[in-house]
Amino acid sequence: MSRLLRYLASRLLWAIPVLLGASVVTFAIMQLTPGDPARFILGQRASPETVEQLRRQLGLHKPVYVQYLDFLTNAVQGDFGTSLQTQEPVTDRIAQRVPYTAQLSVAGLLIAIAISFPVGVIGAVREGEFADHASRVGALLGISTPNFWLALLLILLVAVPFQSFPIFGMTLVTNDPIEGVLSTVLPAVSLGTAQAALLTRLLRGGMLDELQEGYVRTAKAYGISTGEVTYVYALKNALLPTITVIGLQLGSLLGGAVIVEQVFGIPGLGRMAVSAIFTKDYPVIQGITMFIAVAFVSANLVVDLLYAKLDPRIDVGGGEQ
Amino acid sequence: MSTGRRRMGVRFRVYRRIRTDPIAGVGALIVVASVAIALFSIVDDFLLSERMISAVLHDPYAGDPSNRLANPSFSHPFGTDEQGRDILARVLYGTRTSIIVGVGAVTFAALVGVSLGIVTAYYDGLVDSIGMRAMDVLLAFPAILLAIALLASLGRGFTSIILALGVAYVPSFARVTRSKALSVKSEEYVTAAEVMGYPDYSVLRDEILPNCVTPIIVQSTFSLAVAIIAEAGLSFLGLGVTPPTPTWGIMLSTAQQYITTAWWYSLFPGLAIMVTVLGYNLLGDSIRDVLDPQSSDGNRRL
Repeated sequence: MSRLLRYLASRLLWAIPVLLGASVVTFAIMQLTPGDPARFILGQRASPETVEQLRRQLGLHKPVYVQYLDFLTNAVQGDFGTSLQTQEPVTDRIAQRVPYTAQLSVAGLLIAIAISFPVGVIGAVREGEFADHASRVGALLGISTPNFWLALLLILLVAVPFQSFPIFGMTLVTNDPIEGVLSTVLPAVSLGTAQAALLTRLLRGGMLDELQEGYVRTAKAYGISTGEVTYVYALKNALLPTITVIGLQLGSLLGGAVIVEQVFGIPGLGRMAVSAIFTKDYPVIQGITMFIAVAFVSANLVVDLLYAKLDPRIDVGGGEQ
Repeated sequence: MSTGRRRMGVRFRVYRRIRTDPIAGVGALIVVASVAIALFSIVDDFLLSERMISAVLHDPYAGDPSNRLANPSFSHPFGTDEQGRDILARVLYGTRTSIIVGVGAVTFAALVGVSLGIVTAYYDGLVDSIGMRAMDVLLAFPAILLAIALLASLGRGFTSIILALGVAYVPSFARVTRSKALSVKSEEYVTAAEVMGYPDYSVLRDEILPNCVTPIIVQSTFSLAVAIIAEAGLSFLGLGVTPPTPTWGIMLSTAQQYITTAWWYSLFPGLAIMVTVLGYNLLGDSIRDVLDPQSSDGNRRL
């Protein structure tokens, strides 16, 4: 157990500089804006007094390093300032939007797993046969299809003919389970398909490798049925590396959600980020960017620990892998 | 030199694969066609006083109020849009934006990422930790979100998108190059060059870099596929190049407003993206199989 704790400590030590770096990048978003950000936000016609007032509100009159330290001190306490547009605290606005993005991303991940696990395994087991070729072509098409176009196709081919799927907005499952599921299916399929394709390829490759391992032959020689060896022994080992990739895919899912939310009019973080860009609401952009970086890094920490726990071969005390 | 002969061999093997494997051939054909169409539309739009696409098909910029949202027909194979403009001509012109942004972003990412990868691998220790930690920082953001955040400060336009996407793809190149360079670094010819007293930059440029080319080519092809989708996505969100420049993303975002009345408008620009991206993915898979039979899916960052 102490080994696991040491491993946890080393991963945390990795996460802290990464998040500090992320805070620098986030902070730089406003600094990189050419000219005076306050003038840029308010436009050319604003009076010098208004600009000066905004400069003070944003803390732009202080030296850059003081501004960064202020930003960091507040960010650590979960305070990203107030939205320039609505004057609400950015953190409150993010908190209202998170459930939608979370519901969409989790559903997208579930769809990706539900498609890729059977298809990837069948592809490996039936290597070179029709099912394998079909699954490989399908995976390539999945990787090559932009999620927002898939979303449009689903609206065109599913939502318009069958009126039960809403094409705008999303209901949280906690408010209304049936409406919640119905309004999530199409966005989640749009979001999950590309991830499903990547996972399928990975799982097929992993299964093919495992099936060639010595233990598979030994197990068969001991009289264990081919089915049991394939679906219990080999599958278990092939799934392990996929867990790490699923952790990394959370980033892609959150990124994809930005666009899919726009297509389906889902009031999530992505939609808020895009409208914040158009209104030059920098505190909101910074808050969302930092929030997603923290979420992504934390999720990968959890995945790393899960992986260490699941794979007995990994010596969690032993430094880099 | 032996490295030169090896690379000729690789080029020949890739060429043979494209000739003999129909799937690789289709991929190569799509890639060549997309680049050709992009180059053609650049020449057509900027250099010719009389545009050829306009003469053969229709003017991609000229609307026709009496022919709005017309069904696909012999005269307009992909139909017309909400201003009566020919969708086929605009799809062809849209290739230009995708290819320029894609090639630009991947070139930027490759230049920065490959240099970083080689340098961090060669000078391990502090340089390596700092460089790779910086890459971890960039990887802490989803690529598209990082690009959006950068666009917030860079503003719109071709250069901004190329930079924004380029920065987002730097870590993929840095990681791929670094892991290859780490193994190349311990080869005898590198040690020989060091012992003979060649300066560091010469060892890096003449000994290590040429032997890292393989994974960089594979990574470039896949990154191009991803960048084309990302550019279309940013345009779809309204953060890409400004209208009236035809881009597949802007076309699709306008098409959504007419989705119940004009299916062709939502169909064809998306199909163009899918076919193009498929081409790069097919070619990338084939090159990777030839060059690097053991590796699996590369470093894709959606």
